[in-house]
Amino acid sequence: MPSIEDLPIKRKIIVFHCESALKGKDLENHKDKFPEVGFVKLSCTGRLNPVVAFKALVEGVGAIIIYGCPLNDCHNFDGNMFAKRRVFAAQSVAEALGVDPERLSYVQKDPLDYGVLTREISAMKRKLDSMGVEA
Amino acid sequence: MMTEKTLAYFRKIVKEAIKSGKIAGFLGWREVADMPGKTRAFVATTPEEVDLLVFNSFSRENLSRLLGGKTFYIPELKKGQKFGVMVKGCDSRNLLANVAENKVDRDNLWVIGVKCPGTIDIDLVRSGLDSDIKNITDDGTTLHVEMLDGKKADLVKSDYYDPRCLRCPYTSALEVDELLPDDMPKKPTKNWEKWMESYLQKPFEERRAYIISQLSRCTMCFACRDACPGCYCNTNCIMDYPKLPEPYLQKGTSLASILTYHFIHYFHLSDRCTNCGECARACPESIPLNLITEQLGYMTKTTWDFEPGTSDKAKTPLALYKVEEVLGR
Ligand code: SF4
Ligand code: SF4
Repeated sequence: MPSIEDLPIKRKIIVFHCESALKGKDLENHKDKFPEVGFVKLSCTGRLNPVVAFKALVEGVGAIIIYGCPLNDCHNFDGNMFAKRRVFAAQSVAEALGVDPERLSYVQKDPLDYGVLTREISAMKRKLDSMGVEA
Repeated sequence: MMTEKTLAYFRKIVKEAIKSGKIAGFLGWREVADMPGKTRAFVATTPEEVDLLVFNSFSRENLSRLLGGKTFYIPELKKGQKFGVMVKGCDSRNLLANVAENKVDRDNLWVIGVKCPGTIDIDLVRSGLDSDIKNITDDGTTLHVEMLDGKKADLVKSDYYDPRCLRCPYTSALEVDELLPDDMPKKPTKNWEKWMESYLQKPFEERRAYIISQLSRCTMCFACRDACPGCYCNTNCIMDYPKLPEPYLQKGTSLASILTYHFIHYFHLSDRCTNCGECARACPESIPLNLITEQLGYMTKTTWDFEPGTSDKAKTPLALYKVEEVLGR
């Protein structure tokens, strides 16, 4: 019978980002700064099926960050609004199923603050440290 | 247990409706021979068959899942004709939710509602007995059990309620065409929100260890999906494709696939689940899936102030957003 030890956690972080929120030089900078983090481009965060994120979590990815556009500034009109609620629902389901919901997070780009994603990635790394995840 | 008078009245109005051609059939519960403590779904199409219909505290099955979605019980209707169905409180919520999603046409239905007296968890009864049950009757306060080895036992009914029924806030059927008189004994009630809050107070690690140890028994039989009145995809469920795009989804019973399957089911139901408990009831491994659905119900209620199935108009929260959120207030 499967047991709780069958759910390994590796020190891996994946960022699902909207192609309009993170692009060009900005994306390059983040990739240079965090070579171990995977960046996955989406046409809109509203296009992300949370099952993909959850599947990654149970397969051992340490943390998932979903990075979308500012709330009133979606290129596709309202995709990020749906994404926000969906990620919240996904966190609740994950919690009910016994997967730590804090390993999944949703952050938005802030036009006045370029450090949002960097800070979130560092916070996730600290979180993995505090959970005792080995490299 | 329905009194004789109400049962006779119920059968009379159904018989009249069938004779006059108002309804093409009536979907209700009937007792099953050799299966004490169980009733099953049954479509009565002639007045004689109506005499088989019953309603008691063993009528646990949710009939609204047979009216739309995976299983479609409604026969071909003549013009102006309807199809009758009987619902408890929780079933009526699922029916309303399905009507809101256009899965079933309410105009084709003639709905009789009952005020539910709470259902008995027959597995709970069985687990406390030495021998299997030969016959079981319920007089409102006591369960009279006759066992296969000839012994008899009288059990206090209030100890054997389905725990979910005790916490159910919607015992009376909503928006029905006819509500049967409420003459059944009242069930004890517990405050659902208080119970949920005290459950959520427990440390996450403890809850996680418990639910994962339970879910690891899952055999991926998909009975919980098949029983769910809210599930949508009929024959197109991703779990039904024999050759799934490996290694994205595997049907094996590794914990990762079990959790992924349950995530798919409960994420799709996260804002639409009415907490009917049908999935927990259907599970052959007796996994307490209601712990998951009740947390989802609590989340939907506290975050979005929405209770699925209480209206046939409302859109679910994941299909909407609020203006305040856009403005970041
Ligand atoms: S998920 Fe379970 S409790 Fe929720 S509607 Fe479906 S069968 Fe009922
Ligand atoms: S009914 Fe029970 S055993 Fe079957 S798939 Fe659902 S949880 Fe697993």
